Amino acid sequence: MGNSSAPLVLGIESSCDETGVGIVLGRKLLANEIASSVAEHARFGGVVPEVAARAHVDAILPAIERALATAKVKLTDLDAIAVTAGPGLAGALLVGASAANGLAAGLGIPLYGVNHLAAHVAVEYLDSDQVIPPTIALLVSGGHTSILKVDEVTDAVTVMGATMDDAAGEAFDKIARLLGLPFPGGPELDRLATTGNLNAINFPRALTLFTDIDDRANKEFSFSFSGLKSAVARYIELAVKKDGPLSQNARADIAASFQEAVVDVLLSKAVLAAKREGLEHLLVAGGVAANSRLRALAIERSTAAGLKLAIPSPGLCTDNGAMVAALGSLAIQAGRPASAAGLAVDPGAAVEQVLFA
Amino acid sequence: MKTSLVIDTSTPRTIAAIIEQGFVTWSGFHDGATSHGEALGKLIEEAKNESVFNSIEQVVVGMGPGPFTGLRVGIAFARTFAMAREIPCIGVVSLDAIGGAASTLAEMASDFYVITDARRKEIYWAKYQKNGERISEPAVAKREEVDFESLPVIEFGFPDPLTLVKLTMHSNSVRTQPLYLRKPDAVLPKLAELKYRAMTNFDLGAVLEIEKQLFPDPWNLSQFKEELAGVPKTRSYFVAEVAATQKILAFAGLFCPGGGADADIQTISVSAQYQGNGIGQALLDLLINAAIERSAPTIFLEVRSENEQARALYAKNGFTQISVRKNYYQNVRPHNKRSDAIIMQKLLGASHG
Amino acid sequence: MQLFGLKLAANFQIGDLIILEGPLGAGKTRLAQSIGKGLLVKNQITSPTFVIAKNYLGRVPFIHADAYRLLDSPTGGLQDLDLDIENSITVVEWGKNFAKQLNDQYLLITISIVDDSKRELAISSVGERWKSFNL
Repeated sequence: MGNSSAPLVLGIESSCDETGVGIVLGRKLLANEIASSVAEHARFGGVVPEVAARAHVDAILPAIERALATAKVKLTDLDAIAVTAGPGLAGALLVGASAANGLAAGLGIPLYGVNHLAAHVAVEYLDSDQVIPPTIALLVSGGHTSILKVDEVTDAVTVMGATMDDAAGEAFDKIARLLGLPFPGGPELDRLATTGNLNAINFPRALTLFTDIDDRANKEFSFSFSGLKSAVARYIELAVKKDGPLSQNARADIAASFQEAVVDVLLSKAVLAAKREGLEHLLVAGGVAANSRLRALAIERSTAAGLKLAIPSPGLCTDNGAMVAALGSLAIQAGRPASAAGLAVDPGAAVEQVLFA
Repeated sequence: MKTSLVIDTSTPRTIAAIIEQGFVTWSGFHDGATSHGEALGKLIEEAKNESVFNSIEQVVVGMGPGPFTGLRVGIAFARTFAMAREIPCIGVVSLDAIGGAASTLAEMASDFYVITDARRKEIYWAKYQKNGERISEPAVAKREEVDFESLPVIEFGFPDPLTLVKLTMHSNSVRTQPLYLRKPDAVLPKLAELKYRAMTNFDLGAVLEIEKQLFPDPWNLSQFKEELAGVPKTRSYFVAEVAATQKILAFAGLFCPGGGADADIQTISVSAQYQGNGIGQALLDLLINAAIERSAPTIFLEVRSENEQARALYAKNGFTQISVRKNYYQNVRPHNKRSDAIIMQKLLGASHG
Repeated sequence: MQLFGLKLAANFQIGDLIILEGPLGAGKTRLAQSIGKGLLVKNQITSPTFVIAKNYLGRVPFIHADAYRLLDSPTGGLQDLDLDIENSITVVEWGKNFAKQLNDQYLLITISIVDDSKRELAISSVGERWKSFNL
């Protein structure tokens, strides 16, 4: 139905918890479905990947059907299938890749194995015609925190820095637990923090002060959140010991101050990276990019630094199939080769490997 | 017999074949316990060279038993391939394709066992009649735990493609769900250590989530706050939380004004995916004890008539039905159906169990 | 802590299972990182909380897992991930309840927080393999 300048691509994302199916026509988003009421039900208590993987084997077909119905296309209309081939959890990746393989083989169309992290960047370019400029991308989620230099999203992506221990999203979830917030921790903490004072407590911002030149050179774009996590945990422990169970206000202040510490570091480094590389464009993506404070401060900081900011809508920030379809479509439009038969998933794939052979 | 694409990834061998009119037109395999994904892709690429590849009428896939990640490769592929071609996908027990083939090829003289490796010194096994019919449900166990009765044991077989297709005609071998087997005395963690304690206002966030999940007509925050305001004079409320993470899984409440008045169970609510683990019972024990401590002579409760599980739990604990309020509950799913409330009571005091 | 991890790593063999317990912020990941370093893993070892398990290659295959997200699950488990523990050295954070799913024998290291800069380690073990384990 499409052609190489506006291909109709179905994308499958299955790298960890979610299985998502998305359909794009060129750079136009036609459908974005998350698989399964079972996974959703499991989401209630927190998804366990094995449970999710089992559910997804059953759920992926209905998700594909729903996406086709929403997009008003048939399987036989598709030009290509795209699928996340890494990084992620091996078992989950395999379900998505195998399903994608089956579709591509059954339809006789090419399969593009793509990188999960690069896909988070690619999603921003849906529903826009503009030429995609070289960009600094701040990618923040439960499993990843990195600063990427994106010269060309289908082919030239490098890591400028990444977390050395915990991902920011993971820190959110763990602190949310300590504050007694229900699942999902990140959004709940975001909500609680809106009622708190973000200056109440000055939690540590790791890897922002360097006394050693080599240290700075190696780590100025790296992140470390384990120290912050410990500091908050200790703060809560001592506060409870001293004054008993935390009041709602106290919890809100802790949430807001913790959140500020994370967001402050994330954006300081991202803006610095853009300046360092002489790039005007800053993209903030990944599940944590749905956080309200990160979004607000990103606007503030990028404006102050004279940078043009791009952030996908919250629904496209979390893992989804649309981003995979988007990257697949961009790859086709750029003339990149499809994956060979026998696509292997790579749970530890580096972001530099945007497309999988 | 329909022209079939056959796939099996339940063993370390990835198997694919095309069967036409009872013969193997093409087949291929690859050995490698951790490379089913790539292997299947490459095999199918070869299969594409067969002219019959475009007139396949059904997909047959082995459903195990087998290690989970490999098993899912074949099943996920088969289902979407079938979806793409708009043809049926039929799952069959992989183990039976070893047993069935064995009996055909080797003319077994007696019943026999088929085993495959389940890793960690465990095996998947099933017992077969000499004609290849399986006579036990596939199971997983440590090798030394299975009594092979001195019968022949087929150990190094792989599912035979032609047999996989023939099995689609045997209802006992056809499965719609993968055979994910666990040992019966599973080496699962017993439900993470739980702590039961009095409910506080801070728990209400989690409590409300569970309430909304379970009930079409959930209580709201003010209603819960009002209940907690009555603690301990007229109310007792408890939560069950995971000790390590303080995550709340269930809660329960009792109305008990004391002074010789009867007690009423307000609610026992266990988050859906944790039901069936004895949490409801533990909470019920706490409520009954609370009622006894306040010297209530009787404890009452209401339960929806279709809630079999809850009614059984209460019956087990000495509650008897005393009346029915017809059409008491509204908004029961499906929407707008009404259901009856069963009123039950348990007499407390010297004679309680 | 770093030094301790390096020393431990020098004494680990293929098939070993090591469980790390301790509250949030105790330093389980830090210890796992030192163990990985001791095993000559070149890549940066980061927290596997989200993906549950990550595989690395040092002098031998090294699996770094985290059962934190499985703690509440009554039905899920590490055994379902088909981790190749027989051929790797495996470290599992928060893994006490799941150890038996993977191996009948394991080393258990429990870290407690004494104060901001001090930690206390308690070491115990299950199984013959660890009876003579000495540092």
